[in-house]
Amino acid sequence: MFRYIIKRIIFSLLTIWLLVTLTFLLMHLMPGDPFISTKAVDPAVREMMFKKYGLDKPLIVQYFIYMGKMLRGDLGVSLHYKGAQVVDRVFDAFPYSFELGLRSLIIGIALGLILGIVAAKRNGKISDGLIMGVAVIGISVPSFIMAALLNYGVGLKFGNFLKDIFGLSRNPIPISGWNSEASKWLPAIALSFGTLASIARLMRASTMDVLNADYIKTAKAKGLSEGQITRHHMMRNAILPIITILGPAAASILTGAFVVESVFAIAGMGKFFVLSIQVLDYPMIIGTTVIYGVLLIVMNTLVDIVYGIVDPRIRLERKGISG
Amino acid sequence: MKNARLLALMLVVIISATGILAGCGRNANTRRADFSFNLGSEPPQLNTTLLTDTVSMTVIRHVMEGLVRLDQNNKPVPGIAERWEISPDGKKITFYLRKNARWSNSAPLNKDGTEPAEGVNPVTAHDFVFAWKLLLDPENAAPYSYIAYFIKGAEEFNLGQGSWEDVGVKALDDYTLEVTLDKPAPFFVDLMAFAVFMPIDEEFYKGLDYENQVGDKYGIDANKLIYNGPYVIKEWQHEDHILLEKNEHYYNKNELNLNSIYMGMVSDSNTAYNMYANGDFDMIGLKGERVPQAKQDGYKVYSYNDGAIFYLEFNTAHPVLANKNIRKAFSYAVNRQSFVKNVLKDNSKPALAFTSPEIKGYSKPSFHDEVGDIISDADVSKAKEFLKKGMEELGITQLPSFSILTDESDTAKETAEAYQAYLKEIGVDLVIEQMPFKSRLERMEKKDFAIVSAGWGPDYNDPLTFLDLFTTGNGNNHTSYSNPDMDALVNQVRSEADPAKRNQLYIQIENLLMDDMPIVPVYFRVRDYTVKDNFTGVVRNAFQDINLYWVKKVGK
Repeated sequence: MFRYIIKRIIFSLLTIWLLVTLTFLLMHLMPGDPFISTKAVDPAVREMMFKKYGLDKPLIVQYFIYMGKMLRGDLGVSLHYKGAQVVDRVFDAFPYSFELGLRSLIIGIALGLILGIVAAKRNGKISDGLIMGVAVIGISVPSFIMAALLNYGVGLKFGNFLKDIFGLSRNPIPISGWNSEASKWLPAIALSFGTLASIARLMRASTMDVLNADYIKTAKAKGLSEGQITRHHMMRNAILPIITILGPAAASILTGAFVVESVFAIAGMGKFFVLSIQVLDYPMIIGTTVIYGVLLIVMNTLVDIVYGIVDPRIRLERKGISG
Repeated sequence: MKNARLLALMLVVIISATGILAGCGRNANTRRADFSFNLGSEPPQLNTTLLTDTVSMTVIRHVMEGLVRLDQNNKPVPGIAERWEISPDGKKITFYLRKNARWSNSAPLNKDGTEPAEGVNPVTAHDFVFAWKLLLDPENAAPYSYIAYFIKGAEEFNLGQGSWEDVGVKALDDYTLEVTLDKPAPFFVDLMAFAVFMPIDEEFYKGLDYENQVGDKYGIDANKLIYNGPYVIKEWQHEDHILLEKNEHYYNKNELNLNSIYMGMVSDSNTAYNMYANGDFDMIGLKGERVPQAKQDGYKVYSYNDGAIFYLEFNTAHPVLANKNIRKAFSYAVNRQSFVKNVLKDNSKPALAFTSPEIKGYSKPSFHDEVGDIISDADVSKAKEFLKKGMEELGITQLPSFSILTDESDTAKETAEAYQAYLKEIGVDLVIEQMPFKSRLERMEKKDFAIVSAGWGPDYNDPLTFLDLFTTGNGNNHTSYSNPDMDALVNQVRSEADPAKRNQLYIQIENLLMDDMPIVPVYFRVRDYTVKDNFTGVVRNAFQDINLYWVKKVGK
């Protein structure tokens, strides 16, 4: 197990290095330069700008300078937010995105699992149909539509309806920002829908498989209660396929957060991705990429490790291969 | 239900994890201020020497004050300078500063509102000298430095060919600032309200550990700035909001009706609109389809011309586009009226001359009224005549197709398609080439294009900000157009101190430009916004995108 984990970690570090290097090269291949703007400046002034921000040096030198700084945890100074440290700006924004992602993951996984199990047990009944219907909608409606619908329909319309009914001074449902508990629900729900739906579908399918397995019949024959069977025999086996999709689910939630953040005006990291590329803010492009890349790689590694713990077969199999 | 316990357990986990128990629904904080509006995005920087964008300028306008302020009609009125004198040749301007202007890091006022005896930090002429030196210092690499080139010796110093001692900015004493200009610039006093000319307190600036990161921490956070304007930044939560509070040290604070201002940074226009409907904002900008919707929802829609003109630029080095009559043919074929109505769908105005109508005139309020509409709109028969004449001059019987560069957005594409359709009517084929904004700028700079869709906004309130663009060697002249008559006229106007004569020269330049037609003016941009009925006094125009100095609450 220990060797397996060490190997995963070494691979992760290699992946991160590759990610940084490729991002560095690709962003410098983009046409245009960070200081070109609709109002021309004298070439001498432009030259000074390049010098000031260290862009006058050969690319390979810039690369080594950057890598050296990055190892010390310095992601450089933004070219767009002149003077601001990329690290400061990103870590200002990161907690919002992280909390939003975490909340929607929790909602998505928990509700997805419950709905999946319920649907499998109620196979063929109305509740099963309803749940799967919702799941299909959840998978096919993109999060930005869901976000816009919740923002307008629930936040603005329903909120103001409540306000009128109860004679409140203002709408009890905040429709923007991330500053009160109440303001965090709609965005998290909007973002969780896709995960919730795919987990519910998968959980239903794998529960159905497990339900027909011999060991469940044995457990029933032994006279175990249904709760015991669900907890000890069914869940642990049915949940395996779910763990595999958690990595990608976390990824899609993090990347999908951009639109939801934009619709609910949350000061998260999403906007940096788009803006930094539009304005060719090199340190910001690479800083945001590295931070998200590291996060995803860490998640995937964790999933691999967790999978190894939950299912000894995998651990043993890999051990077998690696000798 | 046997697994009810499991379900209940999971629900408890979800609920506690997402913390509903802790939530009692505090309200969004937009309402903590007297007036709340959508700024739209984070200001890239509030270091006044480095900024270039309208968002940053809007924030600065409320927290900093230059030698002059602009009134509601963009007329310069005393700001930090109480009065000023201009020498008869127009080249020397002496500003006399008020003695009661203070920086916001002065000691707090006494309980009775009087100033304490110690700890007062006055705004002095040296603060302007320091800021302008920074603006022009090559090391600082300020993008807007060129706007100070009207000052004697400024250009040489900025380009590393001169020294600061030779630049015409001198503090004669703490409260007298003498500026020597290179050439007469009657609009120089107006320019003193422009953000890059704001003063900076040297001691504060240098106290910010500025060796550490490419020169400047100044202006990157609320506590990394001090203010001398009507408001101070109380809170700056990046990418979220800026909260302003009245500056207790501001000499004119009793004139301000708003005690606090909330500037939201909501980039999604649907969300901003919902927030306005929800009462979170008192003012938002409106774009495209939001304008009719706002009217339908019963909101009052206001418009202002933001001073920008949008046009097509020709590369006059192109073998066919080098011909003036061909260029004119294109210009007359464009249907601006239909373009504004069907493509832009807003209140923008067709442009039949180049200089924005927002630029003040000499004998009339607007310079545009001095020249009037010079070309005619959607004149297809005239366009065909020009085309025929041009082709004869070139000795060609068939026209090649022309590529038109434009941005990546859907609007940019629709815009280019409209041009395509107008030119099709006179038998000219356009091929649309879409690309990222920065790539388009690069192609323009390299003069690697045939036709490009571009725009220009004024730097100051004088026709020169538009009319010196198409001189030979101007960095903003991407057209390769070069006419010695044009160059001579612009040079003449630059050294002319008499406003009447300047006006005559401007009229000549404008007419020459519209006759040579290196560019096709298309429209003057108009922006729309809505404000809650219980506020009056919002000023929005080409030189003050948003100014809330005079805003007053009426009713409840």
